Amino acid sequence: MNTPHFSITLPAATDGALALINHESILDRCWQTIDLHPDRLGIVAQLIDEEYRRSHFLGDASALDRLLALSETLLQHSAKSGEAYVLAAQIASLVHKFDQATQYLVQAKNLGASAHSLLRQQLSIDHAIGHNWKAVFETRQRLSMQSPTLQNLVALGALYAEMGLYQEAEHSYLRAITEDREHSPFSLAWACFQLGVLFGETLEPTQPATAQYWYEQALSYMPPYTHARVHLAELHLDARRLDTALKLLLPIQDSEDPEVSWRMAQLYEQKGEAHEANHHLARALRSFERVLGRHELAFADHAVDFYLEEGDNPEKALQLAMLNLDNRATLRAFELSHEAALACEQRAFAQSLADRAIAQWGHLPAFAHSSLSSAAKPPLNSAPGAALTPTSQHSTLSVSTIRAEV
Amino acid sequence: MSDHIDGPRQTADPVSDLTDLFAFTSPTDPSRTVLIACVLPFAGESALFSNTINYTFVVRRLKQTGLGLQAGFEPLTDEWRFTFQFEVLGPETVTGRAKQTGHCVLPGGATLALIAGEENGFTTSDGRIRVFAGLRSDPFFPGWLPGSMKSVPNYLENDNVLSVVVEFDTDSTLAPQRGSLFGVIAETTPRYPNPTSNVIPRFDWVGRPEQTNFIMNQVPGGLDVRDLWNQETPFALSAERLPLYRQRLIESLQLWDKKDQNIEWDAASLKAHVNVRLNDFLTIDVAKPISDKSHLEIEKSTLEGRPYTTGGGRTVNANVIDILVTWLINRDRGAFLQGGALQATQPGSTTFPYVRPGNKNMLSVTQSTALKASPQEVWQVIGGFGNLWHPLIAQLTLTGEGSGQLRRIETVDGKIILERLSERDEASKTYRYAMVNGIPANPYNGTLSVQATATGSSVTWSVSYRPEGQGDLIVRLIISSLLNAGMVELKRRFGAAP
Repeated sequence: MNTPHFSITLPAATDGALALINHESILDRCWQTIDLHPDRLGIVAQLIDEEYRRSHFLGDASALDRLLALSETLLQHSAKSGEAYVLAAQIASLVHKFDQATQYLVQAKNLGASAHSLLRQQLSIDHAIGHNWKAVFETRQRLSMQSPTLQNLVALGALYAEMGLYQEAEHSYLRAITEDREHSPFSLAWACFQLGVLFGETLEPTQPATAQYWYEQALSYMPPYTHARVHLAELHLDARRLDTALKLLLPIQDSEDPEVSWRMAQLYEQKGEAHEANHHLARALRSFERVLGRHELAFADHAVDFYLEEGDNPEKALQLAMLNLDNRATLRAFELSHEAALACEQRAFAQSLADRAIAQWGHLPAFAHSSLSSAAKPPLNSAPGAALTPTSQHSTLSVSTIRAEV
Repeated sequence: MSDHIDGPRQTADPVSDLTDLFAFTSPTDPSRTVLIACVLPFAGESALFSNTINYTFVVRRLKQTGLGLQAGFEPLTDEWRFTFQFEVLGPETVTGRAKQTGHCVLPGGATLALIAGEENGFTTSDGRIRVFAGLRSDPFFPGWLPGSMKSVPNYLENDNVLSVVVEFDTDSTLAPQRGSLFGVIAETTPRYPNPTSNVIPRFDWVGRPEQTNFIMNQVPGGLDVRDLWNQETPFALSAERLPLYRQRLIESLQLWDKKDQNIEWDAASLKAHVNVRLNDFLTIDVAKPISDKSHLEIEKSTLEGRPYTTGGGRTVNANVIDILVTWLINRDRGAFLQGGALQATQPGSTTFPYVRPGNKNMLSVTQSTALKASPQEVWQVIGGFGNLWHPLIAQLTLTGEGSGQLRRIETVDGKIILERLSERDEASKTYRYAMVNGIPANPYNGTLSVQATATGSSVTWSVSYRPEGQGDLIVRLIISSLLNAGMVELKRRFGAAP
């Protein structure tokens, strides 16, 4: 796979800085309006979109706090509206409270919410938790045929990638970009970012140069895109292009996103600046603890990686991984929990997780590329922790070293 | 909502989402024609136009092709385009935030430079054409929920949009002596279309208000065809998709007709109506008078088989929703269906640029008190819009009923305040109202509600407002005193709960 990216003409979009100004102006206006008219569901829907953008593109974790407050207000003032419950389900999904989201959808249906909005939200939940995936796949395909919007095509691409159908994933993402009719730099940046993740993290072996290209395109559309900066910085760190990575991270170093501090810590460690590295690692730890305290389910999976690596707390990683797995039994959730169980030297438990994963996801092409595929027949002499990533094996930086220094 | 958020794609980049189109002759100078288009629903005070979108008015001369069941309007080849384009923001200056610059490409290709937000706009050297672009109060005021036909107060109250305005000398621009009937649309298109893409190069377009949301999207269970419609080429719909749109319009107009249980549109007249609606543009005759009441008159008269008498068009203050739903439901053979919205947050003005400046953020005063009495007892005293219970009110008279009801208040010191009921909900023991006149604020919206508590009840009275004609401190003092006196009286009557 890998369509030559130079053969693709990327569509123009509204300048990212202008779009960001408009995003903030709409957000401000909508909060003003909802204070006066808490029953205006159109404004609530707009607020959900705008706050999600803040969370996803700017790493603003407080956006999730505001969304939960909005959900309370919404149900207080529109308790008889089915559409209000669909919106509440959307908010619950965004903070990964999928059980609650499902309950809201039941209420929404009882209150007469439209079949279309119920379907869309149920699809989103089922996709996120890995439930009923055949139906999810069929529906995503159908929606993309009927309405090939960027949103539908990127969602289908993500599903293909999760299934291990990488060429189809790439094709769907590229269609989303080249056939874009939305013109939104947010949406186009998101599609480019997904391609970056596909080439930089999902494919085996990865294709860092292609991933770099797509992350850079994402940033050309939306310069402050926090996740894209973090992922691109990670590529540069892997290639020891430390100054380039630093240039990407410095503008967002005040972000609440804990991964920013985490990458900064890795960067300074590679530069040999232990004091700076420890400072950022301590900050990353505090940030993870803070966001987990507020939205544990939403950040559990990201935090597992951290606690398995520099966070140096495999027990906490396992606890979070199991929380995440109970919430959404996706292949990725099995991989994380399996990895955490091995890190905790709970080999039997890890094997039971692998067995469950095989039963649920073994038929997918993605499973062949999964760390769990080797766990299906573990070598008798495999050492505990063998599945840990190279970073955690070689890194000398960890929270325990900070604690020791303190 | 006119053309607001008319399709899933419009939410992705709302700065391409056209919300309204207006076309009328200037009320202060009938020799000039005015076109206004709005984008970006819910715009905040710092909102800006996209640097990669064309905001275009297209005017085509029309020929009336028939009357009655043969009613129709054929766009001719004469075309005038006014295209607004904007740039990215420059660096901030010592005098403040940078302003957005742009220009309008005029018919014939000349350009007129502009700066967004300049109230007086910009005029060509010969004075023929004047343009404006910037933040405005949303001029639209819907007062019906289309599905349930529930009458509601303006649900775009206090919203803002970005507007582009062009005013031009009618004779020298449109040569109406060759035909004075025109079709007008506004569209948003990519400024830099991708040459290798086969994507239809259009984000949105708008002709008559509510063609998409109220009409094309009101068939239960029907596919949402608004995104498709928005990408069509105005004045030249795709022949391939025409049957789809025709069928959707037939189904929708039938449903509208049935809303009052009477059938006014037989199959033949409905078919003629659909034919007219498939040619979606604002019709305007620049040689005839245009008023707030003349919207759709050209189409209606043509469909009824008689010559039209007005210039049709759409003024900023035309109550287009009520005009439309009355026509769709009872074909103007029954009562005028007055919804709950009588005017926009800020009605349009009679002078350039005709749409009012953006609404500033509102201020608010809220007072609550806990009472020993039950919610029912308290609501019985204060829940009626005409109840006389407030100590500062000497006399109160009511006019009308339900939403829109007016109360004229004479205060103990002889001042007159006029207020209009927006909505009253007995179940939640709440009513909302708007002040029309008497307090130096505009807008001014109040809410009075009673809730049950463990010890009795709680009354909350809140007012959101924007001072007008007086400073905030004075206005706040007036409102606070009014609310406070009410709360004191309630505690005296019912006793304060701990």
